[in-house]
Amino acid sequence: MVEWKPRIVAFLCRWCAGSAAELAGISRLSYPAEIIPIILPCSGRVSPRLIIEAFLNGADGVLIGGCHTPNDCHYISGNFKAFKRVYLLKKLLSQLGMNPMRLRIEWISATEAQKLVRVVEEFLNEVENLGPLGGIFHEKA
Amino acid sequence: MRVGVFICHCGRNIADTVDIKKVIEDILKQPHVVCAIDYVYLCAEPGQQIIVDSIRKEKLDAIVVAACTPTLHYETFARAIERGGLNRYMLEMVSIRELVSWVHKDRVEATDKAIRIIRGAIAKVLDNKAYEPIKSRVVKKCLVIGGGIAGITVALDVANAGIPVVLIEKSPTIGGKMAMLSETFPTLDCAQCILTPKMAEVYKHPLIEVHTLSEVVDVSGHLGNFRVKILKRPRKVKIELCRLCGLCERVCPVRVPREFDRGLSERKAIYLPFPQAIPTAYVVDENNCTRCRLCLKVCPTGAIDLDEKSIVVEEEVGAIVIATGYDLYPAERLREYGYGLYKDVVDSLQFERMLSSTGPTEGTIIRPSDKREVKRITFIQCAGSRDEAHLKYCSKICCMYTAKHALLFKERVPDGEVTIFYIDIRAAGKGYEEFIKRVQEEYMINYVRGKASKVYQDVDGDMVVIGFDTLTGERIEVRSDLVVLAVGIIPQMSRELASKLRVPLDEYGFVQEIHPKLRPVELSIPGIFVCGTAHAPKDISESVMQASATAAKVVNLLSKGEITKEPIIAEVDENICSGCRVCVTTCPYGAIEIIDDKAKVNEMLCEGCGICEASCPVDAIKLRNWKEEQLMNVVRAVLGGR
Amino acid sequence: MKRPKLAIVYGAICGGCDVALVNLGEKLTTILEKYDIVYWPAVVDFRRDELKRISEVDIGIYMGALVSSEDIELAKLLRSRSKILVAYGTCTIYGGIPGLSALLGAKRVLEEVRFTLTTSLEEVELPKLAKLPELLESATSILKVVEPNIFAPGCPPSDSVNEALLEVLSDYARGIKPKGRIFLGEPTPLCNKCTRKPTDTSKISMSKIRRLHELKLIEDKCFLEQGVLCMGPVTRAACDLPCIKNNLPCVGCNGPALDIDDMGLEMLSALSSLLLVEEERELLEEGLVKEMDRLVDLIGILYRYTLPSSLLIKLKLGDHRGE
Repeated sequence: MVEWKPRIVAFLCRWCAGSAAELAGISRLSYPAEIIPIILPCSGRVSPRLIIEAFLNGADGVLIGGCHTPNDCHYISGNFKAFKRVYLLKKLLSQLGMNPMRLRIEWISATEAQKLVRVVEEFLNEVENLGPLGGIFHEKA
Repeated sequence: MRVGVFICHCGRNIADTVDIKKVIEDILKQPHVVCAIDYVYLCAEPGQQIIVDSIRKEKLDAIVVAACTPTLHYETFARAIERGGLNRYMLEMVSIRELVSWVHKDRVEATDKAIRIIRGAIAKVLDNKAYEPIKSRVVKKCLVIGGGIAGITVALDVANAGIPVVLIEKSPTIGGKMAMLSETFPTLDCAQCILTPKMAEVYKHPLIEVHTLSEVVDVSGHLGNFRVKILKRPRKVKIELCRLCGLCERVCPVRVPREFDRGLSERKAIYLPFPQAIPTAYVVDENNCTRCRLCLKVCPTGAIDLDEKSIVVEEEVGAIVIATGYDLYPAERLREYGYGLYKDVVDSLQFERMLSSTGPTEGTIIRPSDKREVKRITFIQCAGSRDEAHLKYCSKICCMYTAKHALLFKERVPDGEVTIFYIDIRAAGKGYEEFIKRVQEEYMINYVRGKASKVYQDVDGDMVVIGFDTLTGERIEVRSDLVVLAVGIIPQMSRELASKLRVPLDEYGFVQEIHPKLRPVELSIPGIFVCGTAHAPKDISESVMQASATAAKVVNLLSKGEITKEPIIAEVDENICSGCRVCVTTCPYGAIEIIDDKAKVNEMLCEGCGICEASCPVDAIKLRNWKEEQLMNVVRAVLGGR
Repeated sequence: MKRPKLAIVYGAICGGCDVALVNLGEKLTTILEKYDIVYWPAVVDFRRDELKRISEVDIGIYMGALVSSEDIELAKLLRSRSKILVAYGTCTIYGGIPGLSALLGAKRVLEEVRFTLTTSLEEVELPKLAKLPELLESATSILKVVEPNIFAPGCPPSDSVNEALLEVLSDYARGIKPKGRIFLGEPTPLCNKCTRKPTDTSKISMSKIRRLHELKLIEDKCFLEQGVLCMGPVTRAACDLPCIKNNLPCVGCNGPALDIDDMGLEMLSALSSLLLVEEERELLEEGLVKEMDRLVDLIGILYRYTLPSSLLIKLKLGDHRGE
């Protein structure tokens, strides 16, 4: 019996959170490997459809990393759009009976490698406690 | 589609942790992958050559490079595949070093993750398309709005680089606030002496066209191709015919406060703004002119034309510079200080006029009320600034100019008494701290740390300032002949003009730069720049610095006559688009318009963020090479197969 | 020449689709004269067993949501007997309003039904009077069971869709067979045809969220600009916009436009992007949340008619794990 390990997809924006992930590498920080990064131009590029696709394909958690509000976004306001989408999607998911903690959005600037590592470890821990995303009828909110 | 995957060992950086052989084994099984090759240092010449040769040998259509971060070597590999005959956008590069081998220790886990990331890159590159950079012609002309020191500096720098400039100024003369000053800190240069040669240079410059009494009334277009409508109000005096004889002024019956002296003196309805005004010609104040036509009778050259009308001129420019400057906060709002109530309470610019040898009092400091000589003077700093009820911010220049005022006063009235009420002294510039020290010590100015709470005029005509000295802890009362308020500065840019230009303003009305450190003169609207006090409170030296910085950006933009841009932008499938306007609303750059009921992307303005694609309810607008289908395939590929 | 056979079969219906057809009046009767109606519980008195005995039907129309095992059986039966199968109404194609029960699941739905206040609390088990069909975990789209030939979306289908259907029937009766898969009604979203779209095509200024009773709706202004949620951007324009013309926002009863596979997620994204765009920097996350919290029932707004055929429900049903 293969021991279950949580699988998380992280959509990271190239300018901030993605750069932080690179810096974590350059600084030889260590974090669990269960998180798969997908680097995009902007956190504002992440659509709710894409997030659901991640869950449908086996992700137990989805993390979105963007630039700090209000002024850091390289494309001015992509982070605000991402924030609103994630907020409403979380509402939708909890109405559905899924634990909204499986979807997380964080602002991580290019220098905050430590924060990235902390967030990844924290998030993985939480998702592990929630268990695999199966049929979610019985998921506690 | 034939995909070639190239994996770098990066010496031992990747190879020590990631099992490259296993990766190759897995990747070769992926559909469309024709070859998967590893090499010790892909970025080195031999490594690049392998890629180039493989493209030819295996007839590859697309390339995936798994190595260090694209931030380091994307350009290297993009050029390599171009040498191989492929378009650079058929390359996907992913980091399996910074994002995998450098952060994970377990070999099995790291290898699995590397495989997943590479599978994702393959999934994306399959739908990538080749694109050529976007080129656009730009109009080699720059519009500068505002003829103060900042506007003048930009105009000169840009014109000296060979680019024509149109400088527009809403008042009848260029020169701005600096022309009103007597001396400038900390060197005490005569303001007019350093300014007027520049004003003359601007006016004479073959590549600069100066339009006074002019304002921008409409702007359309975008970076490189702006169409601007300028309203030119009538001067009613022909510049080339005016000899400055002043006969018209003598006969004019109308008297109104003179703006240049901020009301401390009067002028006629036909007037010369100040002796060194440029253009050097009289101007008719059409609001106050009674049309008595006496001036027409005396003008020896027939320069006056009272029937001249406003005209609207259109200009096509490639860049616009905002240098609209500042004004003083309406000091009447500082009720406790009595400005406007008492004649002997003046603001800092009025005091400058008093100090000026060509001012209303020819440099003598006298009370506006009874013309008595001023022996005792009180300055109140932070009048309106750093105040929750008025201006929250610091106006930056007041500490320095108040010290200057105190020094200049003491030089004229050596036995005079000077008191300055202050909260802090901000003197951060070069030589500024030394200047303040000098003023305090050499000139024996009484600096009182505390806010003045009230100013009133006593029965004997003395101005009384009541305040609190925080260093002694005592309430104090200072009697003086004149009170000068260092009033806070506010931007002159109107919200109306800002919205026409689509220029963002901060909460105080100052023009908002896109980033204070990375791009301090650029705005979120490409092609429009800002410098001087329109941007934030600053002194002359900083305004000039920022103006030169702006000029460099303008020249960079316009000098080649065309601009090139990355083609990774959004495009609309018109068959699907319903004209719902969601993308128009959400684009941070205003790069999308609805034309004929369909969304259209302005190539020059789109920055390639993809917010539009994620927002579109029907997925009609797509970001090239970052389409939803592609990203979905990436997600499926990285998660597939536990 | 023998008249072609027509059968209209029900899943979980409300009766609205019948009314929609019957409202066509003479247009309907003219066509129906050309057909031999072999099954239509509302109109002709035939039993289910008789339907089973019929070997072939020309046009089979399935109306209603598939919520029980019996509905699925019927759909399969109809498909096997019909030359042309019409999936009529949003319930059939997308799950419709009954589809919202997917939020609760079969067990809880039955509990809700059993333990209402009017029922005696002693009744814990249903008396075993008859063998009742099994209630599905979630209503399902007919597409998951059989492959229809013609789709008539709408709750109920609009006049224009109905008239298009009648044309198909009329053609069939004259010997012209419909080819391939036909989706009646214009595929483009409502915004394409909406008269409230401003001609100056400026941005949509959605500076607040308002429920219908909280404001006086302006007649010719885009609903989104008034802060009212309108599903127009994602809904198929398979009608003449009667709701919009009567000063009510679109609720999405025609189902998704074009190839959208999840109406709710697309509208969610469009909505998030529009809401308070000019005020983002001023309000920051806190202020934005305050306004977004005014949306109380997101599933009811975004998935009112399409929950069973959405991607979202797959998460709940565990479809993605092959369960």
